[in-house]
Amino acid sequence: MITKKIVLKICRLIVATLCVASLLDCTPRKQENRKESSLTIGISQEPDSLFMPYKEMMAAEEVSRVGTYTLTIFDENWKLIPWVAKEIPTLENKKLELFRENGQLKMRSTWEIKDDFFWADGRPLTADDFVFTYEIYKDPSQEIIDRTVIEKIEKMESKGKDHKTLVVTWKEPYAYYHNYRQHEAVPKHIVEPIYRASPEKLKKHPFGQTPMLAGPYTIKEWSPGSHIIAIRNLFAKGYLKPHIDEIIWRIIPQTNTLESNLVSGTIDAISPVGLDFDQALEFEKRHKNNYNFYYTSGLVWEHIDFNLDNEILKDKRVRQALAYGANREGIGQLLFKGRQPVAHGTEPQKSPYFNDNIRKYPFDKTKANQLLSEAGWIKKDGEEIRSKNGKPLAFILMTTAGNKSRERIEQLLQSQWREIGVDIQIQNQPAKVFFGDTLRRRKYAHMAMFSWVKDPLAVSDTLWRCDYIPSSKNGFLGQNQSGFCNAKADQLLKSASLELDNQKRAKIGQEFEALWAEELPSLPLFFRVDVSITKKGLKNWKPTGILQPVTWNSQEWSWTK
Amino acid sequence: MKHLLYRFSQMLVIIAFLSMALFALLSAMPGNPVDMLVMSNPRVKPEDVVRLKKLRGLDKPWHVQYVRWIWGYDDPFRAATTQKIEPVTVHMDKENRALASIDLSDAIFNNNYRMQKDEITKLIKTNRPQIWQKMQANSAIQTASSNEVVDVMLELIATEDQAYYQVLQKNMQQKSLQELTVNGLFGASSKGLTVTQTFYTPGFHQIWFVIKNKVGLETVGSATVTVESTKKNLVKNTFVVNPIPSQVVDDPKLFKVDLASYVDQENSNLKAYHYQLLEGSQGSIDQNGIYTHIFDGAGQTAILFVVTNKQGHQAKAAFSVEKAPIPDPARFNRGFIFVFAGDKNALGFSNTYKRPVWELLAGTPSVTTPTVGLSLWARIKIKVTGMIVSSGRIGNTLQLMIPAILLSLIIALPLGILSAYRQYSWLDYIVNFFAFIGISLPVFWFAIMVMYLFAENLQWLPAGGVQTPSIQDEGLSAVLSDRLTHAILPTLVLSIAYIGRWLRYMRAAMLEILPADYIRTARAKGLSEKVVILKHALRNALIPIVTILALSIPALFGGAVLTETVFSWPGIGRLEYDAIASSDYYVAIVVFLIAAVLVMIGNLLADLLYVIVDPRIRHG
Repeated sequence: MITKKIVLKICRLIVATLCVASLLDCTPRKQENRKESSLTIGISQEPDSLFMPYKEMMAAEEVSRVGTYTLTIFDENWKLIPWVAKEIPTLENKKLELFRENGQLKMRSTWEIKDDFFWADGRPLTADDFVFTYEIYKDPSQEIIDRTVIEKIEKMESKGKDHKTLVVTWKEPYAYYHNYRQHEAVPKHIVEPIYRASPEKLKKHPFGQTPMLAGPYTIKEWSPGSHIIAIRNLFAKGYLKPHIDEIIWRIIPQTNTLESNLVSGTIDAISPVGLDFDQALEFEKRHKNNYNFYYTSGLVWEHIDFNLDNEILKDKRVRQALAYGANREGIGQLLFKGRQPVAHGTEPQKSPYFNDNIRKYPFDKTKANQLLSEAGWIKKDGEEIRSKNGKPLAFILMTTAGNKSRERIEQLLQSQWREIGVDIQIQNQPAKVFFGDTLRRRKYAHMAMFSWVKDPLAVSDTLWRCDYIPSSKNGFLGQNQSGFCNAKADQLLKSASLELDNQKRAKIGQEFEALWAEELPSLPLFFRVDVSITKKGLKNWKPTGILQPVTWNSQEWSWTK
Repeated sequence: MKHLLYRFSQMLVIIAFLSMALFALLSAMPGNPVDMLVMSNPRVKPEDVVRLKKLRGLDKPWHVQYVRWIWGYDDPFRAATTQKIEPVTVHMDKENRALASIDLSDAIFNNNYRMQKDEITKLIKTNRPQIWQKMQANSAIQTASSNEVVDVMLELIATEDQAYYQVLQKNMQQKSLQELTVNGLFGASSKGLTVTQTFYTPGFHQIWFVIKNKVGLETVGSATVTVESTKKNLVKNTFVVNPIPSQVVDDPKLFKVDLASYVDQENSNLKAYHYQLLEGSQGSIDQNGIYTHIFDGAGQTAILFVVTNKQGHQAKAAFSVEKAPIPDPARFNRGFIFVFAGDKNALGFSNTYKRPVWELLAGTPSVTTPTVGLSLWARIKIKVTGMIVSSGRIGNTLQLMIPAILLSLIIALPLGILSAYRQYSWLDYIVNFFAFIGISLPVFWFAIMVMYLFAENLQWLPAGGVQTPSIQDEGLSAVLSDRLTHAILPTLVLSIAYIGRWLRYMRAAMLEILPADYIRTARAKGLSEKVVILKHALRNALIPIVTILALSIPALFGGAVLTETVFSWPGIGRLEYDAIASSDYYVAIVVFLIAAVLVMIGNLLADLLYVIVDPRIRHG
């Protein structure tokens, strides 16, 4: 019979394939292959570049900071500590001075660079490297995105016999002269020839893919889409000597796959740039005993902007009523098991500008109803929704489509606000449209839910100053999306960046917080929490929750024996 | 032959049209990468966004961008720039004169200067013959385009001999300055690169000068001079205009400069000024010191003006205005069309990954390990290992798709024939049952389940990824088996979906043929069942199958986005998805175009295969 023959043939084929497969060693090579002291981190984002001037993504920060080369860094308590520098210049230690030149008040900061830092080829890190990097930053033909600070600097000089003193002259007093992101260094002896030959091609140079770093580690290999390997910097000295030889990042865009990799032992840790919050909670339920879970509250501020051009929302009482009518504590308990702190102002508790004595809006339906009635929005008999002059109290709430937790918050708010007689229509858009068009051009009718990543050191003046309201005048390039404009607030925000005294500046920031909470141009929701997971036995893993990535203290990481 | 030519010309037209349409669509998408920056970083300023857009050419309408992309564009001529010049202090002589002189040779840069290849070759040949020898063997220099070869040479010199590089750099700086002419302004005189001026009052002054490069771009510079005098009765000059940075004309209609903010006056009571432009300068200044002018044309010009205060004191100053850039044909960036001339860099540059597109697709050139003294076999092994490890997105996708498609074919076609031949038998039912499962399983879910079972629970196979990091250190066989173990799960997931579909097609095609008259005739002739099925029935049933298969060729390349994502397999599908999500236009459009070409090739292939499969068709 022909069938028999065909079946036989197929069987033979299958057997043959299986044989070939079994000939090759098919056992997974996770454990036996792993070097004695290495750490593999799963990360869901691929860095855009590891070359200092051009990197923008959080993943890029995380990877490249294993060779930290900034003058200062933030520790896990958001305290600014000197890193490459011996100490932070202040007015007290006389390393920071104010002086007049041509009748203008200027500022000078002097940084002494430690002797322990070496590039991975053995050359010492000097002030020359910083000065050269400043030159790149200053060049308008470079695609440097954030030049706020660079434009405030008048000049940078390398001084001292061994070029270990960096003197920065500022055009005006500037309060954030010591921020960790501002003075960075690239190895001048390698980058300068590339830059001088053709500045516009620097961005495209392969050096950016595996740059040489000057901290405990340096980058050895970057296989796009697959992995990045950092190896110990052989010239790292003293406390910079790492305990772990090799750090590998595996790029795994799918979060379910990240979990599987952790369970199967392919990776040892999941970076804060990795899991979603609710997924981590689920994972913790199943694997509580095998891993360490780190929930770090951070500076990502989730909020709903009210469009203050809208006639209804212009009324402060309506905004306040909406705040009273939203049970943010309840939503937090329900969605985040209470682990994401509710925001009352714009600053989290660890921030110097945090003010606990501002006006808060706890869940209080009576107050909400009272305020709305005061504002003239009355519930007619038999109607669920309030109205005024025949117009119902209805708003459109927008956010990024596909963001699970934001969508769930929206639904909960919708039902809560309905109870105080406010009708909410949800209208979500893909992130590209929402951020690229709707928010940028302030096209949202009433409310928009999104987040800002804030700076731990600075008062975020660009979010609330009048001149940052996006409009056709400034080419829709501002970040004050709610359209908040208050003379007092403007004056406070402008003075903050000029105030050098930390305590006085903190006072200004706190005063602004109080004013902001009273005016309530947007409804603060939560401070997002970063989650990271490591295997038990990894010591000194200290996520910060802010832009300073978890790798800031990578030289302290170690495995317990 | 005619048919082939016709098909090819058709293809070119379609590609030209497609590329234009794609480009228009992509640029019409909301949220270009630069705009998105403002939304993600509160510290990015509006001016920076404008500047970045200009740098990437995103400020132009889409058809101009399209021409830039397909044909290329010239980088502009660059004006000279000045560094901040250290303030000078001079003393007055007995006749109350002070002569200040400033040497600019260390303070100005000619950014436009490029050393010629012959020039640098001559210098190295005579001064550093060892480096020259190394250069001749260096492949990077051999392959560099004439535009870039000098840059590559300089880079090589810097790595070989840092000291000589510095000498060369200095040499170039000196040569480059010869192209510039410096002219003193407002009474300052110049000789070479030195500007001198005599002052008659003590206090602060500024020396102003203008630098002109060889294409006529003017840059204004200034230096602060403090004149000291021992005589107390002289009136000090406190009225100066601070240096004004070069002003860029983004929108000629909106262009204005607030000059008042640069005027420095210690006594603020005297702040009522009179502004006046000096002869030869375009534009107008109002009494608040706002300069306006609608500029046309290209280049960079100096604007000179004078300010008078209430006391009647005058201060003169100048600034440069950057109008539209003047393109420099020597700095031509090749566009996409040059791909056909064999320039792989013409594929473009990915702004997300900061790598050339060809490198993303075809892989990074592998790190060269020293192979001296090894046997031929060992050298081949190292070479192959390198090729596999750095295979790039195309390589990875092919490695996934070819086995998946082959496996599916091997399983699907025979099973399809069988189940058609034995219609309604137990075999047919079972095969169909599984085929339906294969078709209806959502790939995403199935992939996660498979991974959960084999990687997480049983821990037999790795959970995604294309290989273990740094496996190449362990040799070729380790690399091969490692890649294979990583490929098993994704291949399985992909094949199951394909098998189900193709099996159904094959079965349907076969079922249509089997009752046909010629099959009955064949059997009646007394041919064996084997010949009847495999020769008469199968050949006819293959006609529709060939179409389906040929059209799967693009899928071979396009990959499977879902499978690649779940198994974190760095293939083309994922690249394309990420490129669109992050508005990485050049990557997106290149992958689209390759896919389009493959669809057309697949079509052509199907046409050709018909000729083989179907004897009734003969092309002219």
